[in-house]
Parts: sequence; C-alpha cells; structure tokens
Amino acid sequence: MRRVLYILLLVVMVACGRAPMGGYRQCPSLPPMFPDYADITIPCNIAPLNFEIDSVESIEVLIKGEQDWLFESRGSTMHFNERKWRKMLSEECGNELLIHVTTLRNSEHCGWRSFTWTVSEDRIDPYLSYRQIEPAYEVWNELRIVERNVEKFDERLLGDNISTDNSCMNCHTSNRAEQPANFMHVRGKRGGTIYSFNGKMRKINTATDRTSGSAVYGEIERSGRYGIFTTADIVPILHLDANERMEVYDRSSDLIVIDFEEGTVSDNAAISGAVYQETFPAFSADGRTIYFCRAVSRPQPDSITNMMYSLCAIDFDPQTGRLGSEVRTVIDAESVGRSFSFPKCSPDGRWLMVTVSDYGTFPIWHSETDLWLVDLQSGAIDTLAEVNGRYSDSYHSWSSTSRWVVFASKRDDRVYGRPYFAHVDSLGQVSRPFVLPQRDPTIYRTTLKSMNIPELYPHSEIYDARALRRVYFDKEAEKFEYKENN
Amino acid sequence: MKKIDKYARLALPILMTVVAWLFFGVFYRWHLLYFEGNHLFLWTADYARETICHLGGLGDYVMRFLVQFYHFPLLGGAIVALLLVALQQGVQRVVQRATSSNALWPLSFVPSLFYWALLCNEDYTPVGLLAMVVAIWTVVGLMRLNNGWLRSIAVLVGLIALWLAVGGGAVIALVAVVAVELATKRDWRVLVSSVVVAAVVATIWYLRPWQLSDEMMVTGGIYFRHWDIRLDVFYKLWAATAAVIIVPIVVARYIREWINVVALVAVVGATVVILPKHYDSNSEDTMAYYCLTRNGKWNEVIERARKHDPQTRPAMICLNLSLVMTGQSGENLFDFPQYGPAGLFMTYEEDLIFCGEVLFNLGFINEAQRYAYEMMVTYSYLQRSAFTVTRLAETNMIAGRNEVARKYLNALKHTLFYRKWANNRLELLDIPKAIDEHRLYGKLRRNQPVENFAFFSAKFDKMLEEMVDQRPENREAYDYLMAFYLLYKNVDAFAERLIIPASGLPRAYEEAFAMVCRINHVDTSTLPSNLNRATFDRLERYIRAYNLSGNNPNVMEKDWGRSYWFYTNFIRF
Repeated sequence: MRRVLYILLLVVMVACGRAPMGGYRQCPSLPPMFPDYADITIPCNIAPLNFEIDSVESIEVLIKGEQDWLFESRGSTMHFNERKWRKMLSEECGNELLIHVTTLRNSEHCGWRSFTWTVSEDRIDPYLSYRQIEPAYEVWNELRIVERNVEKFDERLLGDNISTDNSCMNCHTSNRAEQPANFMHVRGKRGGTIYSFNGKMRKINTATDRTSGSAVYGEIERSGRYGIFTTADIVPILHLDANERMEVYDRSSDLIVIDFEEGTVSDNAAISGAVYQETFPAFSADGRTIYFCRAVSRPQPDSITNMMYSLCAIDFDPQTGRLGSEVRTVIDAESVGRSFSFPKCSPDGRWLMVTVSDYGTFPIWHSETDLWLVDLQSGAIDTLAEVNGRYSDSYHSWSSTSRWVVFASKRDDRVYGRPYFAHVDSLGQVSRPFVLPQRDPTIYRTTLKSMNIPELYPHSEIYDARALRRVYFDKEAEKFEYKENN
Repeated sequence: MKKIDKYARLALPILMTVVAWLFFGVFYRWHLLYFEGNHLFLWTADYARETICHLGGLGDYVMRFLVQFYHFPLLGGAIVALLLVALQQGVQRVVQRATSSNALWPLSFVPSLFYWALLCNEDYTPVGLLAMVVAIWTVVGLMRLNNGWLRSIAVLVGLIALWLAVGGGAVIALVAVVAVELATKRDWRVLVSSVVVAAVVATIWYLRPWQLSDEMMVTGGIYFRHWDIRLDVFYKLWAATAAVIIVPIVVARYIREWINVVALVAVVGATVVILPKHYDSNSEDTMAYYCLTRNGKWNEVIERARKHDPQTRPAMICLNLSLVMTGQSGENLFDFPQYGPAGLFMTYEEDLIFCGEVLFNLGFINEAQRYAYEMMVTYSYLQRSAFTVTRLAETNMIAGRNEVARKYLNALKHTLFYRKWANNRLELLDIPKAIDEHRLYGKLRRNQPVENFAFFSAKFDKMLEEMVDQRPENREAYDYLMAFYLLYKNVDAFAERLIIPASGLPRAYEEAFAMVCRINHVDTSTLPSNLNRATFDRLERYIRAYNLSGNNPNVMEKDWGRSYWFYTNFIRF
C-alpha cells in the first residue's frame, strides 16, 4: 500500500510539472530576458510583457506591489496569464512593482537581480497601426498595414497588398480626435489616398497638374477637414560604405493643404517653389501652426550631405484653411548641426518630438538617427540621451493623452524596425522605452519583417483589408482640384 | 493484343517513373538545385503557422518540406517521379473503379505528362501536382466506402477539407466523385453532398476570409512563382484531367483492347514529341552556371564553357566572373566568344541574381546585400530562400553587422541542410578577428570601398574605376575593369590603367597593349623588356591577314578568332 502511495505521490509531482529539487544560486545580474523589460514604466492597460530567457526549463516571476503576484511558465518563454495580468495592472495602477525572476536550468534554480516596473496611471491609446514590410531597398512584395490592440495580442489587417494588386501602401495616420479622421496612401493603378471620417471611407486622387504629384507624408487637423501633406519626387540611391544602407532624397518637395470637405488641393509661395525643399508637415495641437522641415534646395545626390533641414513653422487658420505668408525658423539645422524630420506635436500642445539625423530627409536608414523633445513653451531641447538607442530611432507618434509615445527603433539589429513605447510625464521626463509585447516574444528574433510607421490612436479604424480591397477595385478615386491659397 | 495491353499496364508506369527520375534527377539536376536554393524550409512552429494558415497552405507546407530534398538532385528527381506516377495511378484506379474495366487506361498518363511538361519551367512549383495527387487519391479512398450515408458525409467533409488543405487542385476530386457516383451507385445523398461542397466552396470563395490575390484564390497554394503567370494553363490541366476521367466512363462499353493499344501508341508518341520540346536546355545550362558560380566553383564553370559556349547572357557573366576570379581573364578572355560588355554586367532592372554574384565577389558588399534582399523579396514568391538568406548572412558578417547576421544564421539553424553552414558561421562571429582572418570573408572585407559613393548599376564600369582607385589591391575589381575596357574597345582607358608586372602581360592584355602602341606609333624598342615582342610581330601578321581577307570575319576567325584584334574588328555590340 505504501509503495502505491509513493508511486501516486511521484505521479502527482510529475503531473504538477514541478521541477526536480536542485540547488539554488543567486545571480547578481539582471535576468537575460528577451526583450529587455527591466526597469521600465508601463501603462496600466498594456498586454502582458511576455519574455524569453534562452535555454531555461522554467521561469517563475514574483511581482511585489500592494500584494504579491506569482506567475509561472514552463519552457524558456514566460507567458503571463492574461486575465491575472490585467487584474494585477488594474489593482497595482500607479504603483512601482518589484520583479523577481527565478529560472530553472539543469536542476539548478537561479534567482536573478530584481528590477522594477512602474505602472503608470496614464493609459495608452489601445490601437497601434504599423506597416509590416521586409526592409528591402526599392522593391517590395508582401506588405501589410496591421492594427494591433496593445491591451491584448489581437491584430487585424487594415491593408494587404496581396489583395490590392501588389501595390505599395503606407502612412496610416490618425488625428486622434474624438471623431477621428485617418488617412493612408495606397499606390498602384487603382490607388489613392484612403480617407476615413465620420464612418465613411473615401478614395482620393490628390495629384493635380499644379502640384508635384500625390500627397505623401502628412497630418490631418483635429476637425478632420484639412490636411497638410508633402508632395515630393523621391529618389532612392545606394551607399557603398558598408556602414550605410540606403539613401533616399527628394529631387523636389513642397507642401500642400488638402480640404477634404471642399475637395481641393492648395499651396502658396511660402511652402512651395524651387528655392527650398519643404517636407514632413504637422499641425500644432490647436491647429493654428503647421510645423515642417525645410532645407535650401541643392543639387542631389552630390550635395546630399549638405542637405540640412531646419524645423520651421507657418501660421494656419483652421476655420478657413488659409496659410500664413511667412515661414519662421523654430530651430536652425546649421546651428545645431543636425537635420530635422518627422516633427509631431503632443495633443496637449506642450511638446514637439522630432527626429534628427546628420543630414538629409530620410532618416530611417541613418543609424545615427535620434529623437529629440522640444518644449514648445520654453523652446528647450531634450536630446533624450537615455531614450535613444544605438541605431536608428525614428518615426514616432503620440498617444491622445500626450503621455505616451511610440517610435520605430532599429536598436536591436540595425535593420529591422520595431515599435518601442516610452512614457512622457508632465515635466517632459521620458522613461526607458520598451518594445511592443508579443504573445510569442521570440518572433522578434525570427521574423524577417520590419514593423515601421507606428501610429497610436484611441479608436479602432473603421475599415479592414477586405473593405480596402473593395474600395481599391470598385471605387473610382475622387479627383481633387487645385485652388489658390493666398 | 490483350497481352500487349496487360504488360503495358504493368510496365508503362514503371517506365515513366524511371524516365522521370532520370529526367529530373540527372538531365534537369541544375533546375532542381536552383529551385531548392530558392526555397527555405524551417523547422519552426512560426514558419508552419505562417505557411499553413491560408487556402492551400498545407499543400505548400508539405511541398516545401519535400523541395528541401532537391538539395540532392537524384532524391529530388525521385520525389517528382513518384508524384507523377502517383497521379497517373490514381486517375487509372478511379476510371477502373467507375467502369469496372481498363477502358482507355493510357489516357491516365495525360495529367502526369501535362504536369511533367509544366515542371520543365521553373516558374511552376510542384505544389499543384501534389494537390492533384492528394485529390485523386482522396477519391480513391471515398470510393471504397460502401455505406451511402457514410460516403456522403465523407464527401462533404473530406472535399471541403481537401480544398482548404491543397487549394484549387481539389476541383478534380469533386469532378471525379460526381462522375464515379453517376457511373456506379448513383446515390442521391452523395450527389447532394457534392452540390453542397460546391456551394460551400463558392461561398467561402466569395467571402474571402484570407487576403489573397484573385489568382491565389483560384489556386490557393503557391502553384506558380510569378504574378504574371496565366491561370489558363491550370484550367486546361484540370479540364484535361476531368476529361480523361469522364470520357472513359462514357465510352467504356465501346472500348476494345485494340483501341487501348492505339491510345497507348498515341500517348507514347505525344510524349516523345512534346516532352523534348519542353526540355529547356538553355535554362538548364544557365542554372548550372549560376549554381557553380554561387558555390565558387570557378574552374568547373570554365571547364563547362570550354565544352559548350555559354548560350545566354547570364551564363556569359558567370564565365567572365570565373575567369576574373581565377586570374585567367587577362590570358583567356577571348578564348570564348565575347559579344560585348553586356557579357559582364546587367543593370539593376535587368537582373538581381547573376550580377549579385559579380558584386559580392568583387567586394561591392553593400550592393550585393541589396541585390540579395531585393531578390528575396521579389523572386522568392511569398517565402524566403536559401540563396538569399545565406548571402544576407555573409554580407552582414563581412560588413561587421553581426547582430543582423545572427538573425539570418539563427533562422538557417532551423533547416536541415544549412544548419551546419550556419553553425560554422555563428562560431566565426563569436571569435574576434575570425572574419578578418577568414580566407574569403577577410579578403572581401579588405576589398570593400574605403570611402562612400553612390552606386549606379547602369554605370558599373565607373563604379569599378572608383573601387580600383580606392582599393588598388583589389585584383579582381581591377581585372573586371580591364575586361570592361577591352569589351568596350576602350583601349585608351585600358592603356592608362594598365600595370605591367615584372612577369610580363597576359595574352589578351598584351594584344590590346600592342594595338595601342601601333595606333600611337610607339617605338617598340622603348617599351619595357618584359613585354613579349612576339605579340607585336603577331599583330603585324594579323594586319596583313586582315588586309588580305578583305574584311571577311569567316576567313579570319580560324586563325585569329581568339585574339583581341579579331574582337575589335569584327564583334559588334
């Protein structure tokens, strides 16, 4: 009988998945987890921060806050229980959590140095769109615009070029308003700018015979009526230096204002013409200023390293859609020795985050690219030394609360972009960034796709890839007319 | 007649298996190697999920698994041969079951022979063949069910599952089920099930739960590799398969043995006539050049060219690169029929595959990486490829971008035949200076340009000039540049760049140099003593022969066809 009991006990132990007893070692270093989630601030509505520790048999995570939370996982990947994780975040909202990670390997338990997670009360916008693309040079094949719910692991496709003639699609951007207006561009024979507002989806041809091509980078102001965009003749070339990858420059570039209600495209002499190249426009929070980047036009590619884009601004009247006539230089590129791109204002109007690189207008492949934060009240610049990674940190987007930013970073391997989040407090202190959590975090090691142009927004997009396909094939693009803007 | 019919039924499938095996495993082995190099099967859950989770995805997954064995062409040939004979046997059994006879059995070879011809074009994958094999054998299985309810449920569930698993090829199963049912049991439940299957498929097709192009919605699995492939060929194939099932059922009662023998002769005759027409020797030759070049087997490339002149421009590029890599271009460049600088390089728009090899081996590592990447994205339809992922790992290692090199090498660790290669390179990454000291990678790292400059493929000769200016010790780039000058007939630029080593000049260089001296009336007695004066005498003889020939290339070719002078006088480009 006793023998039977012993056997039963052994069976129960094995069935419970407990590891055999072994030694214990306290490791002085942080756990070698991938992705690195140590000492970060997280929103109280983020999906579980699953991570992997290579070659371990099991992982135990004890989280100490108001109460203790124990999570266990077999194998080398820590999969947090989602329900328990959400409960923990809601109960520990605003607290600093101490994380103890213990791993089992070769019958030895290893307790790693503890680290912290600060659970911010500032919620992050639940939706993140990004473009999933192989980081090729000039050509593409599979290309998708994905909408991810960052509170969970759910994803859905907003666009898939397999179903739209293999066309390029890019720049899904939201104005993050209560009644959101979003746009993205789909190229190809039947493409156009896809504009969604008020529950309706429109396809627009923004090219006119008076402006140089279709709309590219841009933003829509909060009412959803006006948009400011770049039109550019974009040229890719290749470096031969092994440390550089692709260079992209604009042979010419101007800005255009689009009135989505009236169906017009306009510009004026201050934001167009051959003397300067203007690009990357963005509205201020009140819509009364348009920030953009501008450089003196020079022959390229020969003078490409002399193309220094300053951060500039021009007045805009959101009631009439009228542009001002004078351009102000907010930060002179020559004076700081950096070229600016992608200015984005926080929705509370206090901050402007901008990408800086050594030169030129396409920082994505410049490994030196960093983010800077400009205080629009004092004009002070924070170079975000603690935030920027070793390789390109570029395209960024604010959460509608102004407390979170997401940006595309190639810090892990220099080539593949991934969305990183960082918290921005009321004083402009930016926390250590962390990568978008995944159900299976090892996907970051194996995927050959970049996740670029990340965009945060509070409301789910009104369409999906099937609707986009229908619009692409079945709907004629609305042709917008040119209108003088004096 | 009966005996002929009986023995042929036994012998012909065996004969087809052996011939198909030899055809693909031996005579089309470079196709198989090239095809395998453009695939990459990973043993990971993520890869399986990614591959399987779409219409026809299971067929794709199984076929990609099988394609990795093309690494050994005889094994690959056996796989293709067995699939072909499995299709034929399946069709024959279905007809046998439906007619209870062997009526028109030779026609059962038609779908297999059709697919055999398709597979001669590397743009068609064997996924569609696998789909048809699975479909026809599913019908064979369904016919074994005697219970009407069971058969109708099996038809309903099985055919929908079959379509989801292997895609459009499943259509022949539906046709065969209906044809056989009408010819045999005529059970209304099975026929209703078939109609329901068609309706369900049509509804799913209309709702499009997967994001697939119109073409892909028809095939589901990756039956072809280029967007511009026309689907007509698959419609014809499926129609032909349906016909060889339906026609014998309809006319079975009228068929006599002699008709089978006539059909047999017709099928064999058509095979003998049609298949050789689909054998693409130029493409097989070009792929041989590519695979040998890709593996750095320069001498084998040159040997191959000595046996048969390269027939295509990419093959010519491989040959000229091999001559440069072995240091033979100065001596032997005109031993082969050169037809201008087009035999050295193509523009980015024209080619990514062959010129990627040129760039890599001449030290244009960043550009070679770009070519590999673009090739992976454009050419390897919806999947990665061994050729490009290995090259991306190499270029990143040479450029010192170890993190991203690891990413590719870690992916290759999940393969059957590239694991060892990847592990060896991962070890290199762990040892400081190991890349610098590596025979190939160290040399290529040292051969890279020192300073940055913009690359334009249409001006590759200018890129070479820049490279040689920056890296005069890059002997391969120098020889390639000199080959460019010679093939462009730009002897002035050639002479300006020419370095005369103590050992003298190789033949082609010396011929060009002698020509420059004669054009510029240089006194040969003032030239360095290490130049071979006999070359200058030969040039004089050439000029006399040229004048006597009346500018006739046919007269001159026999004695002077392998000289640079003949090239300059008679080759137009």
